[in-house]
Amino acid sequence: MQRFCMLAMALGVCFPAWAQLPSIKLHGIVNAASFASPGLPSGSIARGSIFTIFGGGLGPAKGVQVSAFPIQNTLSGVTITVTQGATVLNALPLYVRQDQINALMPSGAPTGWVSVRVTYNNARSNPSPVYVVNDSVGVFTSTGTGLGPGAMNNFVTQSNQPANSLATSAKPGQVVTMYATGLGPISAPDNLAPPSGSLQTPVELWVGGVQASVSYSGRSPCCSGLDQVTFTVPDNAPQGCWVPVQVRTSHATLSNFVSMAIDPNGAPCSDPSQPLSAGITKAGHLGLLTLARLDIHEDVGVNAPVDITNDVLTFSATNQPGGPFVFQPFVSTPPLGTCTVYPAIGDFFATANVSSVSPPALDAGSQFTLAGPGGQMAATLSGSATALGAYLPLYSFPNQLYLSPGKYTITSKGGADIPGFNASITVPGPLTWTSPPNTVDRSQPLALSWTGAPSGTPIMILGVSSDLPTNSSAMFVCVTSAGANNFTVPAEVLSALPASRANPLSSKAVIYLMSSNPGTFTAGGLNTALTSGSYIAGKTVVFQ
Amino acid sequence: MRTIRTLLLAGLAALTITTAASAQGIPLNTVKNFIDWWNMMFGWHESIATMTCMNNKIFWVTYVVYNDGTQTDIPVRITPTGDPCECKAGGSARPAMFATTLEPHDSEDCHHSGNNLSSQSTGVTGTGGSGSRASSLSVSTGFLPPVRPHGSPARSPGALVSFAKSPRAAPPGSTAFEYTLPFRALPNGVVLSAKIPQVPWQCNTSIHPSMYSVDHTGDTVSRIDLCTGNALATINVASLPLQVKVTPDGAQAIVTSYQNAVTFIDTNTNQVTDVIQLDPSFTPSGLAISPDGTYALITNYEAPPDSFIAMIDLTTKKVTSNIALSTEYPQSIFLNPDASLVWVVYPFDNVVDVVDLLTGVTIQHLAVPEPMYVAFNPTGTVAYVASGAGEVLVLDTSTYARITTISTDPGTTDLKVSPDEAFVVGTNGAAQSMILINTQTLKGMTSPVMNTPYGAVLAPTQ
Repeated sequence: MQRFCMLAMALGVCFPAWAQLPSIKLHGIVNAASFASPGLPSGSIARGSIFTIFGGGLGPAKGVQVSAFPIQNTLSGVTITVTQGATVLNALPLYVRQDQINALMPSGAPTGWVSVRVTYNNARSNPSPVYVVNDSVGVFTSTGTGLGPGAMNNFVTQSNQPANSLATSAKPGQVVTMYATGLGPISAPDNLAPPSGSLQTPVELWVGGVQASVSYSGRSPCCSGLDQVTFTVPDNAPQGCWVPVQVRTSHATLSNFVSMAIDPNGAPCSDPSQPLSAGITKAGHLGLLTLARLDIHEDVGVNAPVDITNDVLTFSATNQPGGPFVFQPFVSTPPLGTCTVYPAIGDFFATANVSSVSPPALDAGSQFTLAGPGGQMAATLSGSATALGAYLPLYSFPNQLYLSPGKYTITSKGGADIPGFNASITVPGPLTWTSPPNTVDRSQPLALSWTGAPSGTPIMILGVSSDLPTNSSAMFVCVTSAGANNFTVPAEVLSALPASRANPLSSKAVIYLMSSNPGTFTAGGLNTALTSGSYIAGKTVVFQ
Repeated sequence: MRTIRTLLLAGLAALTITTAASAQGIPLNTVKNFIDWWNMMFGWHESIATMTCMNNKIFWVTYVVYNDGTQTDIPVRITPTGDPCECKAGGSARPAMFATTLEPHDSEDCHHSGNNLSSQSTGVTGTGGSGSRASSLSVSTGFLPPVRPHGSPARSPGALVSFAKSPRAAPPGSTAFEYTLPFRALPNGVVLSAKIPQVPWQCNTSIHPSMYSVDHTGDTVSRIDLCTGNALATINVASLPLQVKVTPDGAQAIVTSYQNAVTFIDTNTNQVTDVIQLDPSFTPSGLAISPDGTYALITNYEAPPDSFIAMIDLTTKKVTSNIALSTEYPQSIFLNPDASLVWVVYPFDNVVDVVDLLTGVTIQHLAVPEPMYVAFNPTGTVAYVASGAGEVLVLDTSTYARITTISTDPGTTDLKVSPDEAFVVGTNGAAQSMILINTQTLKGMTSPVMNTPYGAVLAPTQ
């Protein structure tokens, strides 16, 4: 076809009909701010919100942005229809490109299942099912992924509202404006500049788990479908570089979890309890060396419980870019005592990732020698990790575990960027659930308790739920206070996860407790070099 | 590949579990007969799993349903075994998910343990018969009501497993899932340098798996005990049964009969409870049941305008709507995991149509030579399409692009994807063979088997 087109171009014509027919990807229509997978509780599209269509052949090769009111039904040859039975409406295209469209769901769109189709230069795409609701908020982020620092402005004066960032924190008591989409429909025409004024949709907002006062929640007068939520940072909000912020509308639907920087004085943020924080907020070389034992108790959907144990060594050395909007999931952890949520398209237990930009890796070699209670062991990293041993108590598999609790010395032969080094890590003893969860009601707080945590260190709690039929996942990440032996996961966190299905083959769900003995080491070429000895206790659950 | 384990380790880089050498292929069976019309319509036995397995760690047993074309269904157990190949390659072995040995063969690095086939006669006997067809259509039609193809807050949980309860009285409140063996690996188990043991086949008596199999010409459906191979019941159904499936709750089996009927069987009693008698021009063939068990989709095996999909409300047992199809003779029908799309195969037109259930619009016409069967991975991102011409096509369901094509014997059908997506198995009655596909390497291993296998089910071992 390409040759044909080249020939046609030589003759002065190359008809778009030869181009790829418009095609909407499976599960390819999402909130434009959160990109939440359609299978997640926040994955529906709100009336009057901006949504994104992913696919191919959806528009011109070079993106075209709508430039003036009134917004037309067609932009650069692209038209979008929303159909439910005999009702057919046009969604308003705001940005069109061959692989992505941003559009406005009409405020008058029917709720429930609708079918969205794209027409580009008279060629129609496949219909794609979309579940339309009255309100479901997505918060825009500086990373453009729906995760990390939210699009927020700290209010100083009317003419001075800098973007909230790691360099420009908000202070407790300060007013902040956050940008989102999905608060709900408006009665004014969607294709004109929207009127200001709070909408009727009930809005709740939490900053670091503390409910904040919301003074405005409505359209931003500049732009169709763009909402702003103005709130006051609670006086008792935790400080930190990545304090989680989430919105809930109609007392039911949570937004994506974004973050903001908070400092008591509005200074550049800091996370005194998070040793990794300084390693990524500033540009430089960061090394992380971990020994971990994972013990997973599987008792959902089985005849008899089984405990699977794995010992793992990981090492990564990266060139961190730093910057005021830097964000890396699991390193940019929330402050002590708070939780955040990471969604994904895909199965977290298989191939799905938390969306992020990986910093460039450094060559630190792959050969390690370990010495510890179990004797010596040579380990070769595959990627940045390697298994040190495992125990699967089925079918007479031998116990080959290596990382018994205790002190280990790790010797690296080094690589091109990072020379050899020695480090010491103490692997903690096991964490023991006091009252293991089985069925978790997502509408109620989840109280967890345990014993065996290393003294003076926080515990990280992760709850992961994957919904296989919709190919979507979400996990919560909570960090306890130092030395805690219990924690309660709020319902407004749990409800962001997809519920488990009746058929366990269609869902996967686990809650993990992770302890850590942090430490440091010295290696040439690394500005920050950290170690961690971890014990991870996981348990399968059912999220109701 | 980044797994949850990696995520747990504070965002460190990906943890990759290297797959050890996969089992090597063996020469293809030389029998390459195509399934012809007669065979499909009058010698075709469809078997459906009564139990699928959650054990992705180690071992499965694959039951193959045999049909010699005249009289006998013979479930045959293909016993997975430990594969020494998995234990080599520098100690990076993983549990032998793809270790099923169908045939003895030697290679430079691998020495398989032998043929583990065994068979038992069930004594189920069918007799001949044929049907006649009229040409009018009186099935009610109407606008297709919206279904809920995606997960949403409003969606009731569904279930995908087709199973049947044991004929024994189940304890109150029991479900199929209490019978399952160890869960999928969460996270993946890593077994370093461990010698994968040889596991003798052992029927899982706690599950006590059974299955339904149709005898097309005998006008019966048999319930077969997979542990013993014995028929637990033989049920008379409407004439010329073609396909049978069990509802997600295991309460009933549904049977399409070419001679204008759909039969419902109570799986607790193995008695027929309802029969939908259709217009003579309605010749039910393909059958799919929604994951939430609320509706069934039936294809009318006719030419347009009588080629269509009928939706049956499983509560009222009424046909509620039709979706018109533009291609003739829709033979089988397959719902994707979230039930938003249905894939319809037309072996005689070399077409697979993908139909949007919300609108009834055919969104893709895929050219596939003699398509017979479609199976999806659990997340619905990959489709495996068995082509009667001797291929299994692996398709990206987002773009419908072909990921790869795996050669097999002509006539392969009845693909089953293991719940952990580790392997795909298919049977081939015409070529008397089976294919096992390693989904990580996308390589297939075709092996000859006895007699004429039509259909396979997966069940966990002990």
